[in-house]
Parts: sequence; C-alpha cells; structure tokens
Amino acid sequence: MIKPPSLQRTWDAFTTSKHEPAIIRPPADLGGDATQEQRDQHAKDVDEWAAKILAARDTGQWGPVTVEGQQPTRFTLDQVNPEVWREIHSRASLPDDCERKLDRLVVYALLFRLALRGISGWDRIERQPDPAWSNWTMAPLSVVAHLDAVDPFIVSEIGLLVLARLAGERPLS
Amino acid sequence: MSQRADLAIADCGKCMSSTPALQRQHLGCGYLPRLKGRLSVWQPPSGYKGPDLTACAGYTANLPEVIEIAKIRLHWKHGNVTAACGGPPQDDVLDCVLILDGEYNALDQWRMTPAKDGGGGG
Repeated sequence: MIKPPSLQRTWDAFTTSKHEPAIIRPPADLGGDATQEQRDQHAKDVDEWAAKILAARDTGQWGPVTVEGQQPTRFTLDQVNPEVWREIHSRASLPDDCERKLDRLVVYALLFRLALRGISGWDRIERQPDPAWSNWTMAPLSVVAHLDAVDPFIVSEIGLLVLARLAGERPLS
Repeated sequence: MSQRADLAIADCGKCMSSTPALQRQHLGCGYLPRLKGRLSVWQPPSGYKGPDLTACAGYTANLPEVIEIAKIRLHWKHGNVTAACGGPPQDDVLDCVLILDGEYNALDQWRMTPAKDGGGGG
C-alpha cells in the first residue's frame, strides 16, 4: 500500500525517470516536420501528463499514472530534521563565490539521503552518521552512486520533491 | 446530505464524472492542467483575510496532509498530540495545526456574525 504524503510520518515517492517502466511516460517528442496543429496538441498532452503527475504526488493516488499490472519502485521518505534543513538552506543561500555554498544538485542529493528510509526491492538501507556532513544521519553515499549509474535524474527528482515540501512549495501553493 | 456534500467537495471522483473538464479547470481542479488567466475558483466569504485560493477547495480539503492535520487537530485540542503523531510532532505539523485552528475559529466567528454585519449568521 502506498503511503500518502505526510507531514509527520513516512511517505512514498516515485520517479518519472525514463528508466521507471511502471510510470506512464510523457508523450514522445515530435519530429521537426510536425505541423503547428500537432505541436499544439502535443503541448496539451504534455501539460495533461504533468498535471496527472502533480496530482499523484499531492494525493498519493498513483493509479492513473501507473502502467497496468506494474509496480513502480517506491522510495520511502521521512521528515528531514528542521535544524539540519536550516543549516542546508543557509549554506545554499550563500553568495556564489563563497566556498561553503552548496550547489543545488548537492542540495538535492543531500536531502535525498537525509529523507530516504527505504527503496522497494532493495536491501534494507543502513542510515549512518556521515562525517562529511556534520555527522548527520543519512543514507550512505553508495545509494546515490548506484542510482546515478542508472539515471542521475532520479536522485535530483526525489531530492527536489523533498526540497519543495521543506520550502512549503507544494501541495498548496 | 451534509453541507460538504451539497457543495460537491466531498468526493473528487463524483465531481470528475459529473463536471466537464473545462469547467473543472476553471474551478481550479488540481487533477487538470492549470489554466492561464483569471479562474473562477471558489473563494471564502467576506471577512476572510488569507491569500486567494488557487485550487478547488474540495481538492485542497481532500489532500492527505490536510486530512492528517485536521485529525491531529482533534487530538491536539484534547492534549493528545504526541499520541496522535506517534511521537513528538514535527514543527510543521504544529504550525499547520495552529493555522487550521485559527481558520476554524475565524469560521465560527463569521457564522455567529449577523449577515448585516458581514457575517454568515441569520
């Protein structure tokens, strides 16, 4: 059973990576010889697909965007410690020339590791303090490396979901 | 039938099957792409001072996190928030409970204010 979005407990997230066969893909790109009418229809179809994904993320109802008979890989996430989030936010907001500034991709990966509790079909993830990050307890870097080998989009996408929730951007913006 | 059901906000599935997609888009349905331009999203009655609603109130009220906070608020009112949360509540949870409680109080106040004074009372 999918755990719906929660502000208190663990919740499940899914990736729309092209390597996730169980989630319906957006309409394929059009060729260069497409007519204006085809381009307009394509843009409409892409908007509808994106709205379905957004609604699935808001409501936890993934049925309408899941390929029938398939189970997408489930990323179980938990709340990120607010003190840790404030530290990350503070460092991400530093000027570009500051050595301690965190790049957005680093922030996504960090939030992914901090929030991650499990991935369906994987062995149990052993969360440990990471000396590179003030000994914050998080999923090991090897998880990110493993997923990046499949598609770097996955970690960034899930990390961005965590960020959007921490920043209060979804679901009620 | 409850007032909530009267307003057709209790069941998104029922609304989807009975309301044309374009009309739902104009009402700010969260299941459809957002239309550009001015929508006719339902707004709270006079006296409401918060930001404009950008999505259908029914969609919003049925979101899991909103339901979660509404349930926790019921326990919070009786001093049982830790038990309801299965541990210490997250900062965001308490913030949301306070926001929701404030809106409940504002609604009660509006309902008890006579219509001639801008409220919803008789």
